[in-house]
Amino acid sequence: MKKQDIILAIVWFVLGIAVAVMSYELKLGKLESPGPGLMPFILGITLSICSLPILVHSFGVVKRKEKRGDEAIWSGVNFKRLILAQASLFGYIFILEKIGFVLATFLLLLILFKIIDSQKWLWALIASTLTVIITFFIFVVLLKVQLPPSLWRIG
Amino acid sequence: MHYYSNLLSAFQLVTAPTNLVYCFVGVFMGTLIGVLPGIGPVGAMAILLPVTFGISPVTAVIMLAGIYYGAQYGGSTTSILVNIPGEASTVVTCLDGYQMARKGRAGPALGIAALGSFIGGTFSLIGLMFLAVPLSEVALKFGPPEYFALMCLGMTLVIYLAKGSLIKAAVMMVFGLILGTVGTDNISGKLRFDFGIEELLEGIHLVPLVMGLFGVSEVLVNIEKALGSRTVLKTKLRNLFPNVEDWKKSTGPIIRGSLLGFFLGILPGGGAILSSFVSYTTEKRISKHPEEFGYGAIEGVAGPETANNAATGGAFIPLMALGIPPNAVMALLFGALLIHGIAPGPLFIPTHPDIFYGTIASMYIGNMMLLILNLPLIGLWVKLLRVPGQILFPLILLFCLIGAYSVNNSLFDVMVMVVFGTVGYVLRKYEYEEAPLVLAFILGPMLETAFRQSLIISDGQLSVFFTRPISCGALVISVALFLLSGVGFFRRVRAKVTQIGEE
Repeated sequence: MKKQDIILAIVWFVLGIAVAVMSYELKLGKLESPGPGLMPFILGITLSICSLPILVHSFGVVKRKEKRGDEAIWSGVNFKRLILAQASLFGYIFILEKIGFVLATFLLLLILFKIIDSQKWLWALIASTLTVIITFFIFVVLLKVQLPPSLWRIG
Repeated sequence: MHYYSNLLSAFQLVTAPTNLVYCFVGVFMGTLIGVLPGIGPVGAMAILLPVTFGISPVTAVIMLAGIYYGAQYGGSTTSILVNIPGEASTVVTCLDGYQMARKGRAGPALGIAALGSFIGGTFSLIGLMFLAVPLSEVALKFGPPEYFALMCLGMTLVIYLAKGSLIKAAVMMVFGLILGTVGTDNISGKLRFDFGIEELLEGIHLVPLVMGLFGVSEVLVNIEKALGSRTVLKTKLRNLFPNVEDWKKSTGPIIRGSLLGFFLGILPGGGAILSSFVSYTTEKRISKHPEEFGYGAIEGVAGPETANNAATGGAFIPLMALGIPPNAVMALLFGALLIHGIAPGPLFIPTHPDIFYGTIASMYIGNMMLLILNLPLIGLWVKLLRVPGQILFPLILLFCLIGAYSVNNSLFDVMVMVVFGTVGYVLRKYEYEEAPLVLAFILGPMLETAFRQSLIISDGQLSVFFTRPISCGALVISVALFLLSGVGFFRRVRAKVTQIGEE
């Protein structure tokens, strides 16, 4: 176990308790007629119990001020790129049915090509245009997948 | 002999043009994703799952299975030429395969890997056929307590054989089981953890969950840092066929690898990973010249490569005979069968012999296709190795988005996928494995139903799990595994697998 493990251990512990409490409200039933809450109740408690060894262990590492695992997992991570990629995916969900597959996908790819490789805009523009045309052909024309039509009803 | 007549008609079925085409698409995609970084067989199967909705269940399983064993072939190519394992089960191939390539013997290394895989794969198919049928006949006598206990044993083994920390694997398992309870309760019809969201009535859908965990999160891990270009060993690919001496050295490892792989493949968890590792250590131990291992010994390629393909056949046994998927890939196949209205279980083989024998026949033909794809066409895959990530990763994300949307034409599913992409990314950063989560997610509803039915038929007596020999045996083994987790053979194996994985 490493120092940083403490964060998720707390998440599991709290999640386990929350699940157990919600399951209790769902009615546990009796052993001869188990209710809908029984299994999730057991699972919630189990999750909390499982988080304890991680919690204790990583807490020990923190307390002893050990350097172990301090080569932080987040070092060298390009947060800007990571968050932009995430944001563009969520953004895609919001605009997909509003402006249609073709335009939304073009915008998404433009951003992704641009941020993942920091290429020139022109390169990203050409790559996204080509990709949209090819995927439209494969999925809509060949595989007949239903995708949200564009504003101009061409897709 | 009903085996042979069934198999014969299955071969007729499989050689129908549609099935041949889908089989080819499957093994081709499998090799492709085995070679490319950023996506593994589980993610690829999830992306292609929607494509299978419109085709017959036999054809669907043929294609999806092709992705699975095709990825093993592709994975070994990257291990040998780039020293990056394409799949977890080809990690040990790097040790000697890459060394062989550096010494200019990439050809025989690739050749023996493909031929060994073919032999191991074929052997395990025969084993699958002869073992699954009798096992499913035994399983017909199983009641809910036996099923509950066997699933517990399966999950314990998965935790036990997990790559990293045991406790983290256990957490993933329980988390997966909890996710599986979301939606309408099977028995009482009551809603659980739906938070008033209408889309959660049927629970979280499998496809977006898997795409998020295995597709999106994998891409996020890959793009978090500056993309380096992969250096592919520039080597002349000639003499793909191993020479007489190579064959002499490899015959033993291939035979042992076939047996090891098949039997370890039946075990839940990382059957293919475990068997490739056990095969490597066995060969090294019994070799007359163990000092050559790690410096380009062909036995170190032949054994593990045979074993990991033999394991793929073994992994089908729990799924097809008992209806209990032993790993994430089989869990996805299980999900695919459910979508087609087929419930795998002991009645699966008698009621759907076409799917069972069809899958076996298709894997036989698929293995032959892979031999052709991977030996004469190896140059094509080497070229694909050079496809830069900056083109690949946006495409993988796009395919995931289209795939998740097209299952139910639901934006909610896309949302689920993106959210689990983030969750999966965080889990990967903190060294949690996602495979146990997916397996538990699929097993969850079955486990709960078996548990509650057992209690109902026994009138609330928990002793029902211990008075029946099979369920008692399975539960005792599960508990024993937990207690013994600090010692024993598997602990050492686990330690080594983790160590190699980190190198």
